Amino acid sequence: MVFETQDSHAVRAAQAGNVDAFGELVQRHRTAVYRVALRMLGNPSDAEDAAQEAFVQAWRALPTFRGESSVATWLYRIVVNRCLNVLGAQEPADPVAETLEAPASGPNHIVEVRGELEALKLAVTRLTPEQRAPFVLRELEGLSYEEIGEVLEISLPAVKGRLHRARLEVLDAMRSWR
Amino acid sequence: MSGNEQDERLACGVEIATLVDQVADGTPPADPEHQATCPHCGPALSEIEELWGRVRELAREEVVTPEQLARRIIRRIRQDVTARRLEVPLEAVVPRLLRHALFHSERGTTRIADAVVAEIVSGVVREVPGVHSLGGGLADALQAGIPVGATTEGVEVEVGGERVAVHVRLVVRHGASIARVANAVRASVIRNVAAVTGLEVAEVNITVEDVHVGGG
Repeated sequence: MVFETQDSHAVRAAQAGNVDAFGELVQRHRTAVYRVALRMLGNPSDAEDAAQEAFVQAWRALPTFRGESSVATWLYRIVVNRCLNVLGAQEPADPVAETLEAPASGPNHIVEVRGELEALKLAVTRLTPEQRAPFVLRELEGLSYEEIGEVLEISLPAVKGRLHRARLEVLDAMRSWR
Repeated sequence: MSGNEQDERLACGVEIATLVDQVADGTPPADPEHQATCPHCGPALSEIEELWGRVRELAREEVVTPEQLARRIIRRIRQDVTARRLEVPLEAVVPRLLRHALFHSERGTTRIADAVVAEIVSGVVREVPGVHSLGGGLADALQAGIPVGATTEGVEVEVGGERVAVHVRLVVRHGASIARVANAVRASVIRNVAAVTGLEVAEVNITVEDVHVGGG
């Protein structure tokens, strides 16, 4: 990656307390970080919060960044974790709302109203968080299996297994719209 | 819901899942000769191929980052820096006996101050649903005015090598299940500290100091 050398300069400067250098990292990686949050969480305002928090957390954790993974991988890890936190916080909260809303706002309804791409986005957000993260990283961000393992800190077989189930779920959802 | 789909096979015996991975990863077929002529594999593949086109389309969709995002982040960080300069007089004046976690590698040593870990824990715990605030209760009253080492309010961290023990004192929202909140706090601390610092969290001890009744 072209960014990597530039990144390591910026990281060193930022570690020394240079906020502008950190700003460079933000400029370079904000789109990817925001995009992952958007795909994971499904709505722009939550995604923006998550992206912002991820960068603030990254700044605070800079002293601990050891350069063993690339800055991109590290930032992916932080933002995915933020998203998992948010999702973990939502899940037990509204099992009732879920069942009540399902008939009106399920994928089939959305397909008619807003088209298949929107329905696909929704189908992604209906994956379990555990499956969603590898799906987003692989299919939408184009990371390799190895990189995903690094981001999620899970083994290669675990990446494959989760991704595999996620793919089948998404395919099933798309089939059901026909 | 769909636990047994892994076992689904076409009439020719080929697992559907294999075809899905072939299309999604763009890998060559495991058995090209079979696929070239099989009356089952062909249609199945084109169906998957067609459906998967949408996933590729979504991957190509341009996502516009909110205009002010970068500026807002930098502003937050500058505030952070300023706040910290104002708020840490103790270490600034008297060099504190710094406690660090240590990582050794061939090319040098990484130290992580316990204060950094405490900071991370503090941020993470506040976000767990059911947590009203950190600290509180008798312990705070007793400690008021007494400077304590590497703690953030309600959080104490002990580090040793690559392992860390965390003590959290918190106030739970009225109506929340204390057991569930405590488990969520523990899980979140373990996951986030590991993700951000690489340290292993050996234990998370939680003391619920109070229950907050009322709105907010």
